[in-house]
Amino acid sequence: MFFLSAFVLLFTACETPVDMDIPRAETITVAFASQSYNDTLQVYIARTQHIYDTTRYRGCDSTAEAFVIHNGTQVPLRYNGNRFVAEGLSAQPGDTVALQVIGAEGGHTIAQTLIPESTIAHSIEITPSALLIEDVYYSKVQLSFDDPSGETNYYEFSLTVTQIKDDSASSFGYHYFRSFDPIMVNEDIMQYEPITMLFSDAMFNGSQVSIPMYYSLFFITETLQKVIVVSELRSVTREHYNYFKSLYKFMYNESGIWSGMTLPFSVNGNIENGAGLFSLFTSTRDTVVYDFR
Amino acid sequence: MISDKKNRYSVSHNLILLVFIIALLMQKGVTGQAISGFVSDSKSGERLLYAGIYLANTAKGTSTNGYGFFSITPGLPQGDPVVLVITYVGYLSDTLMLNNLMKDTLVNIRLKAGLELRPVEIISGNSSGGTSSPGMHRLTAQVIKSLPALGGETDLIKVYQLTPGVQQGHEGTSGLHVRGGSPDQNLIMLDDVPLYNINHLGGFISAFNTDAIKSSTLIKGGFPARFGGRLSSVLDVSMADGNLSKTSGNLSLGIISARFSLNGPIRKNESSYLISFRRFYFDLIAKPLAQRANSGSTVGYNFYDLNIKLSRIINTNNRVYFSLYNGDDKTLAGFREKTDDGTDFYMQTNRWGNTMAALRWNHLFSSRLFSNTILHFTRYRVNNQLESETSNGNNKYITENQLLSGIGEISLKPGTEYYINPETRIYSGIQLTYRYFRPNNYTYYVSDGNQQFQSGHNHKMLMQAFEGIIYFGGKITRPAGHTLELGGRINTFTINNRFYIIPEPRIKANFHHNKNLNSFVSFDQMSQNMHITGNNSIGMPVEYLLPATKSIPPSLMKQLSAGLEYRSGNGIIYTSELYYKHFSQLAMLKDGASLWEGRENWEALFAGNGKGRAYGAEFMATRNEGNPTGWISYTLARSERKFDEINNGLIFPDQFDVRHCINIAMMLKIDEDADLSLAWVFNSGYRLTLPVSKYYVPVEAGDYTHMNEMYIYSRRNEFKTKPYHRLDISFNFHKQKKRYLRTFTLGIINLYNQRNPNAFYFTEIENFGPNNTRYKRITLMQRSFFPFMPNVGWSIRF
Repeated sequence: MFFLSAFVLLFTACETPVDMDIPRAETITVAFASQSYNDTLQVYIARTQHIYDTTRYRGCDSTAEAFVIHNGTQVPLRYNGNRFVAEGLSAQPGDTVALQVIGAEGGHTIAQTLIPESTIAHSIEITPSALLIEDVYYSKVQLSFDDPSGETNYYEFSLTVTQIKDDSASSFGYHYFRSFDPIMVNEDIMQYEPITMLFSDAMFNGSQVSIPMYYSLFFITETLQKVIVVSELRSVTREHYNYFKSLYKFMYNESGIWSGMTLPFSVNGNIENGAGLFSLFTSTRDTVVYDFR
Repeated sequence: MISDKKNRYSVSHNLILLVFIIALLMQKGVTGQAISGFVSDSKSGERLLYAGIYLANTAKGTSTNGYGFFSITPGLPQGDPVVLVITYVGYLSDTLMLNNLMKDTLVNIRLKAGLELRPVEIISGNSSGGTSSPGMHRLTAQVIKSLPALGGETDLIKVYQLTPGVQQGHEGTSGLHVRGGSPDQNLIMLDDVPLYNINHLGGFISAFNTDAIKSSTLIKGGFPARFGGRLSSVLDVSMADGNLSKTSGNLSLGIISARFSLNGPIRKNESSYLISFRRFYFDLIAKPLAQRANSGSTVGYNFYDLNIKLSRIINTNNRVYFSLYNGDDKTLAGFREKTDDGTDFYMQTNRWGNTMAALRWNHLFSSRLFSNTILHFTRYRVNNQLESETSNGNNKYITENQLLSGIGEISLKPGTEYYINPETRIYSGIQLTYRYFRPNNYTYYVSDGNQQFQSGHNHKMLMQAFEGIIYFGGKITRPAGHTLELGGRINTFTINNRFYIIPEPRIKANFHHNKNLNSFVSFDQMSQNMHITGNNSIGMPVEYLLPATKSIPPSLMKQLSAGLEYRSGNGIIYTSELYYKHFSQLAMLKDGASLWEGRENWEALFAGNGKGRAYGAEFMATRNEGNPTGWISYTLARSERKFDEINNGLIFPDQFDVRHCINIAMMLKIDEDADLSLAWVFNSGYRLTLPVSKYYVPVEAGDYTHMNEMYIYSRRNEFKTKPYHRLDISFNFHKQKKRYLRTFTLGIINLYNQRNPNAFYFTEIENFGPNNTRYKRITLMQRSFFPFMPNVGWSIRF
């Protein structure tokens, strides 16, 4: 007991409040839109709060003004009670679209995105229960596509699995996603929502690539009628890639400010004089249905 | 990246050095007979490093080198007696008279240990008080053991943290931030061999077992040319050689660890051995507790240090040494439990540590020419493993994860010292090193145990480098006592077909104004061929050891320092020193980057081409004689960094940019059987980066979207913690028994229970407002270790 007492004394952590004055930083505008170029553009706009502010999520800042600029035309965005939306925007891959926001305090914020050309996956093969790891079955997804040569291209691959039992649809997303392929291993795959594979073509620029990946899901063996697997390959911008890469890291460290182990970390967006992301992408989808009836 | 301009710079410096060497050789030349030999302890035969030897008749002097050797040429008329006075810290001075010196003479001088304990030696090139060297502190094991220590475990690094110009980093850790440098910028050597990570217990204890240490020197400026490879400091630790005449030993028990050491002659006065072992106890306590809580669980942490040294005097001109150090930390946590139809097993082990072995040969070619040749191997590695096994009837699923990271080197380092006359000494040497880096090897393996299926992934990264160093220099002492030491190193480094050549000039001048007052000035250039990055301040094995490459070239540092030393009549030595350092080509991990990601292109994770500067003033008053002994020091300092990719390219203060620092160390002899020591440290607080704003952004998660809280941080290291201060105290009670000396130690760490910061975090605290209304407040919290903490220790020395 003596040793135990000594050890407890040695490592007893004392935790005390610190009276540290953190001055109020300038309030800046936050803007966020990350979506397919052919969906109606929806932009989330908000403002930063002081770190000591106990108010949780305040919702979209309806007092802001926002515009999109495409082909030299400025289109105002309309607040629909949830987001600022731009109807009738007809941007195509290869076009540049700019977003301008005038915040409640008059600050001007601007961002622009170049919509990437679409990349079509020519093969997405799914092999159910291909691997057993730690008592969990993993299904294999083999993604194959041609990568255009030239500048670095960025991709995001996601998988949505819906399991349908009885007559009512029940949805269960995959709960783990992994790959041992060097391309993916090199891309710091993190299992945080949204679970997607975000990668660049740094290791295969201009060539045909085939990447094996594995996902696991909860089985409902007795009453399962159908499994629908929707895969989506997105061509994304460099800003999208950088933002979400840093976002994953941020989410990984996020609890740090509450546990004391954090290191300063900023998420890299493309909003000038603000925070957030404005990025449009192209995507192709593939759906596989397993019918057990 | 060394430009043509820098190459021209290098050539010009080499020419200056060449001229200097020629000038040395054109001194009065080799005249008269030389007296040379070794100075050692009268009882143990242990060689005494940097002992002072001077000619009483002439006030000319020299000192033993780092291996206990000296050579002096009196230059007196033939037939005149030569009187040598030999002094050493903590020993009684001795006088040696030689008559009718007709030829070169080899003498072995044995000094008797004195009664007084001198805390810190103000390094003197001339024991008559002639000259001083800037930026050096030397401690003996005796001093280190006498100061208060965590859990009774005395620590070399903790004592150096009490010297001016050295910051300790976070509470309790073994980090050395020397003159605005970071812990990775310190060359830490045991018997001339680098150790890459000296942290035990998350940095609370260093790898140096004081039972195995003879002496140590911390150099902050005025670097001798034989040292290099790091930007900010050199900590040169010498292991004891072992007693040549009789067996002796030591056994110590503290509240956290135990130590045992034994040393003695293998063949009397010819060969000796030393073996020392230290082990941390925690696993012996934690394992039974974990098993009691859950029969299948196991948890533990331990570390050990093993030091072995063998030495043999072959003849008067040759002595060989073999040094070995092995130290490991190990944590483990896991369980094995039975399920209805099988077992579940999970075990995570983390192991990290150093191994080094060195063979050293001291050879006297003549009474004036001494050589030291070292062949060494050293390596540091981190090995994290995770194993799990699930059996379910006849099915078995096995997974194994392993993360390996490490560095190792094999090096050959011959060097010579030539004593032309008492005024002139030259030295030179080469250092050839093969070094490998394994920053991040990752293995993943899964199988069913029956080869029915298996899968895995291997990510291996091995980088190999070759380093070739040539160094040379010389020291001239003028009759008035002034000295000039000029030297340099040529650092060549090859990796991946990339070749660097970097000159490192070193200049040091001492001015002897009178018997009490000396001044000095020095200029150093240092380079560092590797980058050790990670969370240095925590001290856990999360550092990444990476070589300089094409895109991350070697880091450079230039330092100019100057100072004064005044020896008062009452035995107190006052020193003050000013320094200015300029760093360039620094590398630092970018925000949020982690090498554990297993990237091939790891260089992209670094912000390179960083710059920095550090400057300050150091003041110290040391009392080496009388009772009590000790020192008081004050440091005024500033340290800044600039990276294009960090803090928006703006200059920011270093995390340990501590403006004011005061240290007091005191040792008081109460009576023959008891002494008291205390250490008080104060600094004005280190730097912090805190989130100042927050905002929310939508993050898609399958079918729904959640709002993720994000933070905007202040400028890098914009905030400052509250001042850090702490008083430690220790009483030692000695009792001489028939066969051994017993010492009982009672100490208190953090006597007045000051809560110093180790880490910060935010939390929500519920408060009550008017009318008992409740509201929540977000508050910054500080985590502290080591409250008022008594410790006891017991040891015997025989």
